[in-house]
Amino acid sequence: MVSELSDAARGTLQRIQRIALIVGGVAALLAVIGGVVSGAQFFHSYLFAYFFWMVLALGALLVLMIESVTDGVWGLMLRRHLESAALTLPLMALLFIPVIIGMGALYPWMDPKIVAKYEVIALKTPFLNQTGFILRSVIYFVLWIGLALLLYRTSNERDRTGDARLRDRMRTIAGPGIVVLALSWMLAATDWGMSLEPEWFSSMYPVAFVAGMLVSTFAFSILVMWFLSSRGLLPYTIPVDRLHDLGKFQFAFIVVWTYLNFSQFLIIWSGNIPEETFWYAYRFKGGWEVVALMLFFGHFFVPFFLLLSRHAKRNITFLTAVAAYIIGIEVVFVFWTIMPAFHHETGFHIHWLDPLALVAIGGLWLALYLRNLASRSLLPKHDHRLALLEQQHAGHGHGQHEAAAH
Amino acid sequence: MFKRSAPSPAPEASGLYGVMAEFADADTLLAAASRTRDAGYTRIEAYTPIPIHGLDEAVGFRGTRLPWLIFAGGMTGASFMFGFQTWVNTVAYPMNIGGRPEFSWPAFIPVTFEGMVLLAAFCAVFGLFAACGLPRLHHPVFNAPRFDRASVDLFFLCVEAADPKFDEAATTRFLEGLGAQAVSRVDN
Repeated sequence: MVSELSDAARGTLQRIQRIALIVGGVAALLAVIGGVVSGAQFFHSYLFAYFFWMVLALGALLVLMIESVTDGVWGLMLRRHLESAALTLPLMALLFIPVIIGMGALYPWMDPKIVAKYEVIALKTPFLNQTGFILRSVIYFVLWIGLALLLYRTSNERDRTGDARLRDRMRTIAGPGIVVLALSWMLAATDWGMSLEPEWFSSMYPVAFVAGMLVSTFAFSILVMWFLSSRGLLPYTIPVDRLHDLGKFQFAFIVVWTYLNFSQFLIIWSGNIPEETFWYAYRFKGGWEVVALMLFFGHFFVPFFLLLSRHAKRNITFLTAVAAYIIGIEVVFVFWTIMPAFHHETGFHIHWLDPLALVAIGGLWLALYLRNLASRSLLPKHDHRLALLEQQHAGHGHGQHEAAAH
Repeated sequence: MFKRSAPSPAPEASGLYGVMAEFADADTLLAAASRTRDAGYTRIEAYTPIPIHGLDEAVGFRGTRLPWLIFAGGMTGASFMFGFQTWVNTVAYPMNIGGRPEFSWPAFIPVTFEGMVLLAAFCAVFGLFAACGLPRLHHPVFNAPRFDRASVDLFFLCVEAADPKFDEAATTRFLEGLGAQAVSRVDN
């Protein structure tokens, strides 16, 4: 069942990779030209787009590590895809340079006038300062890229040698790795996102993005699995029960996302003190309230009821359509979280550079992801779960019946 | 009540409930169940010590309406608790809490959520009892020999006498041909 990636599959992936690279490259060029014209707006749009793709890349690393400590067959199906997505982190480190260049345009604590005016920000400058910000960012990337590379190398070694003990090594890396990622992301989200409004603080803010990571990673995974299987590129048929697993994850993390975001809102709303409530106040007026309502209904009620039924989670066409929608609404969530920081007084604001930056980073990101994906077989060569996947895919004939029936 | 086919054994004049075939392993049972269904039998049920992937489809199990009951329960619980808090805080006993509006819906959400979970869980548990015909002290299948080993190491397939295609002699022969190590008559 397990074979090398077929030439046809490699060809297809490389063709899309080229398209992604061209689209991303052209968009990046246009965005840079736009940046020269519009100044600070470029960095605002860039940070928004960067956040979305960063959340996806880190989400892949997180789910990859969860896959390594658990033993589900769903993880076997996703492993190569997750490794490919996690290995885009070096690119994300490179793409962080514009954020450093634009720090002055992004972070109010960079402005000595603002620091002098607000004592609460001045008191935070031992943490929020340019040197600390850059130093910490370097450490985050070293940790994350290190984890991704360690897991990738171990996986390749396992392919080469077939040594079953390497699975235990992956587990040993991934267990503490999840803790390292969670803690470092707490700081990274605080640095990169929360400090856009440096007076404000919420320990839920980074966690809401973790929920976003899980939501968008599973949505992206479902899209990829659908694409690979509909083009006949997979060396196996996705068992309906395993598709159901992905649907269940997607459904569960939509609920987790809602739980975390609502908890943050409820705590701040009931506390009702000005140094916390302003963050929501700016996001509930001047047109942003429409986006907030869109998230309330569109990021919770719509996907929740669409995915509630068992049949919905077992139908790949339906599940894929919902996953595509979820990716879209996740973009809106990042937009609503980041962008109002730059438009406190003026209300809702969208600029043509926002979608352009999203396409620019996305094109480059996808190109690298597809390059990684096309470089190896779509299943690990040695894994104790391969027999399980094969057995379920044979499914005694029944899984197939049901897949066709729905 | 929630099963698509009535679960209670029809009291046959002969007192016959059905015939029970006994299998040594899961694969034989699974194949036998598929072939029994393919042969046109509709009232069949399998009893196994472990869950077997694909067995529900092999015996023609089409799911129950229980999820709809649970969904309705959840929706009722959520609407009731939300409505109740709204009524209490705006009509029955309005109070000024920190100057907030009387209809402060964010504060109602945790209790609304709990109400949804509670009623949905009740519907799941008690609905399952109702669907299984519980409480019930005895079931005819326990009259089959060695049936207690259905929870240890044997795999059973029962064709009920209520099946339109049922014929005691022919069905027994059919099941014996499927690799059963024993086929026995089950009385009510």
